[in-house]
Amino acid sequence: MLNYIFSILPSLFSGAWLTIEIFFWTTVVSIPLGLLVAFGLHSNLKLVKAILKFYVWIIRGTPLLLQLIFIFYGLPTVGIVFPRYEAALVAFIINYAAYFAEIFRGGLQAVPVGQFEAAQVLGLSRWQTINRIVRPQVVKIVLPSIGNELINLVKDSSLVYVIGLGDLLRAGNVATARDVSLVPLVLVGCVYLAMTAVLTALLRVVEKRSNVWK
Amino acid sequence: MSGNKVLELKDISKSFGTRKIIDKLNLSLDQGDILSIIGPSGAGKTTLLRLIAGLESADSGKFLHNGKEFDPTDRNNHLVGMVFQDYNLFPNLSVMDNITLAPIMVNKMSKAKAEIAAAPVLDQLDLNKFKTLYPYQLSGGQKQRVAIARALQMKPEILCYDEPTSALDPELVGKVKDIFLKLKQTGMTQVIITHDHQFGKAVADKILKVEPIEK
Repeated sequence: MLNYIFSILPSLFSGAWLTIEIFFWTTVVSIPLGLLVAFGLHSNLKLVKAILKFYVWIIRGTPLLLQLIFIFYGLPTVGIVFPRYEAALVAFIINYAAYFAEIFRGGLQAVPVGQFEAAQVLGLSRWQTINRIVRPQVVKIVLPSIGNELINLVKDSSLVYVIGLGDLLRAGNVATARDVSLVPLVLVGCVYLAMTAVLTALLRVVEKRSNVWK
Repeated sequence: MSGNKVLELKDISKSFGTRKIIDKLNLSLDQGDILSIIGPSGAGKTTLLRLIAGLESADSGKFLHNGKEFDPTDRNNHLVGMVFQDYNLFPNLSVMDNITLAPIMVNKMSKAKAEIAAAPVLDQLDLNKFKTLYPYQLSGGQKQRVAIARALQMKPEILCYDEPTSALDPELVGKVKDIFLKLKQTGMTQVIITHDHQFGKAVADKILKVEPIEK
């Protein structure tokens, strides 16, 4: 039994590595992108606002699975071809940026007008106000929601299975089908649990650090 | 300083939409004056204070400082400081950082210098033991003193207060009055909005009664 577990672990770990890669790139690109979109949604440019609203509406209103299939299997029919891995990243980044944008927009709205006014009377520039007053408050407000989304992302990444990428879930499924054994799927579950546990612990540290003030 | 008016308002008017809030208001303050603005809510007290602090712009009329016209909405003039009704301290900064933020960011002072500059005000307002605390750890009266200290660090010539006594326990009201009178001795010109006629009359050199404008 133990031997069997050790024999399939390498393939599971290499699948987990792909999961981590997708998680990493989606996080580092879609969070800043979401912030930009949130500022765009807050701006006075009507056209920009309308386009971004439309984008958020489409993305949040349709399944991520559909978006993945659309990009990888659908777009080539009109001549736009992404390799598997890139297709997955594009889909995840576009999808998560929309969710993060909504989270940041809510956070921005939650900062009281009085904070901006106090900064203005003190002579702080708009940028100084954003950087020293607004951003830290928004970060604190959105941290729990961002954390939830990140944990979702770990699990959502298994959707890349549908476009044939060898992630953790696929590695387990392949082993289960080949060896007619439940063990690989149980192990897959354990690895997901381990990843979300580590992430949860990290998020808790970050939240604790932001709890110096209320 | 006789003849030099720290603040003059000439024919200041302000409407929101079709509602006229302030109609051709004239006002003049000498250095060290304390002006109480009293009147029922909806009479435009807060609007007037916000115009002086540059948080709203007037539809017409002029603001003068020592006889020279100025624009209160210009972020680069630090003539007017403001203590908000709910203080609007920055919750993410300690008391010391609240007080020194503007000198550091706006006047490009070093952190060390800004903290040295803040020391006398912290002393005067009895805030020394709170300087490492965050706003949520303070009582209302302490928050108000931090807000006053924060405004003073930008060396305004005029300090505005929106309802400074409304949220305070009665025994603290006397303390606030002492602060106003101490600042007056340093030459600070102060504008106070209050519902509390007694308090307004007790501290003020001048009183401005505002009434809602009839349609």
